[in-house]
Amino acid sequence: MLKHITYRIILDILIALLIFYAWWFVALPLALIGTWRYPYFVEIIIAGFLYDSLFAPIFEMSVIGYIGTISAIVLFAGSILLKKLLRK
Amino acid sequence: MTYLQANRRSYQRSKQAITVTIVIVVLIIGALQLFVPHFFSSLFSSITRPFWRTEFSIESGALQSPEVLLNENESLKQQLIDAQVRLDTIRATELENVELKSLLGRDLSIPEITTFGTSTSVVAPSSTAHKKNVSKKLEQFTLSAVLKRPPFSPYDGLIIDVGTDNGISSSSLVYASGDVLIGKVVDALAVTSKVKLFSSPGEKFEVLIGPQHLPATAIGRGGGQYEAQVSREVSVNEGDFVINSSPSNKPFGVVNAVLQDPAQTFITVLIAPPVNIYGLRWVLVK
Repeated sequence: MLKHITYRIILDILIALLIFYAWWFVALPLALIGTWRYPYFVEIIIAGFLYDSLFAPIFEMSVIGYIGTISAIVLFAGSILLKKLLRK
Repeated sequence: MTYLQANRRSYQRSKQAITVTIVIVVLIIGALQLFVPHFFSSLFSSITRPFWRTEFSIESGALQSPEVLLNENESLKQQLIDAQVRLDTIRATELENVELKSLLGRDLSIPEITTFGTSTSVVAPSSTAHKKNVSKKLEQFTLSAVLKRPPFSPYDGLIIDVGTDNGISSSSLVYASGDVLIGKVVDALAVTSKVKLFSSPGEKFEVLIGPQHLPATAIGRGGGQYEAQVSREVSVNEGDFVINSSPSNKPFGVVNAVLQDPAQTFITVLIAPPVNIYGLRWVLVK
């Protein structure tokens, strides 16, 4: 169990660092692995929000300024549904 | 059996508690985002800035040996001297241009092409005067390192390492080397700022193309590229210079390609800025 949590924390740190450096194309596959491997991987939403806060201009109060958050929520919800369907 | 029911009740209670907590957290974040829009942006930027600075320092050669850095320094000094000589020659030509205009009775108060801001003074090509003028110009600008640039961000912008602490405000203009206007600050945080490039998709800019100064509207395509449409009747060639349609006539870009479709009454001109957006390391903010 402890090993499980440790791996999850390592994955979180890795995703956060990749988001800091704007390497979203590497962070995204890792986040997908996280959503598949761990239950309720909410870190993906935090990562999306972090990405938008760092790089999206505030003035864009439209959907465009929240691409990261919206994509993360969609992936998070999608992964839960998919897992439920496949593990029935 | 009773034992299992108690367990289910406790499970449902904890599930409700988690749901309520999530809703509260989401509401707090939403309220902060609505009433203090810069809160999270400033917080995360302050945390991330040391990482970006480290990356910038490494890219700038901070890990190179002192010998390499000294050699590079010498080489850059030599290049600066060469550039100074070339600039003095340009200044001399400009002065000659002004003198000729005055001979022809033209108004001398037309802003100079290479002048920063809207200064109308004519500078003699002497080295001291020129240096004074350059330092005066630089005082109006804030030099800033580019911490993040396209293509990593889908928002097609830059992150620069100056903010409101350095006197930067939203709507400050951003210039690349060579006095090329490339964007404006749209979000000034305490220690960093977000810059929207004029080449962002959908951004429009009035320009003059080529030696004939054809007026056109350049529309951003992202990644530092623009496109404009002009009539088929006019002649536009690759390599033609494009300047801003303003009295300052600042350089805007170079015609990269001319696309012709026989079915259309216009031609599409692709414009690239004279500086490489992907390679930008320093910018000037005014």
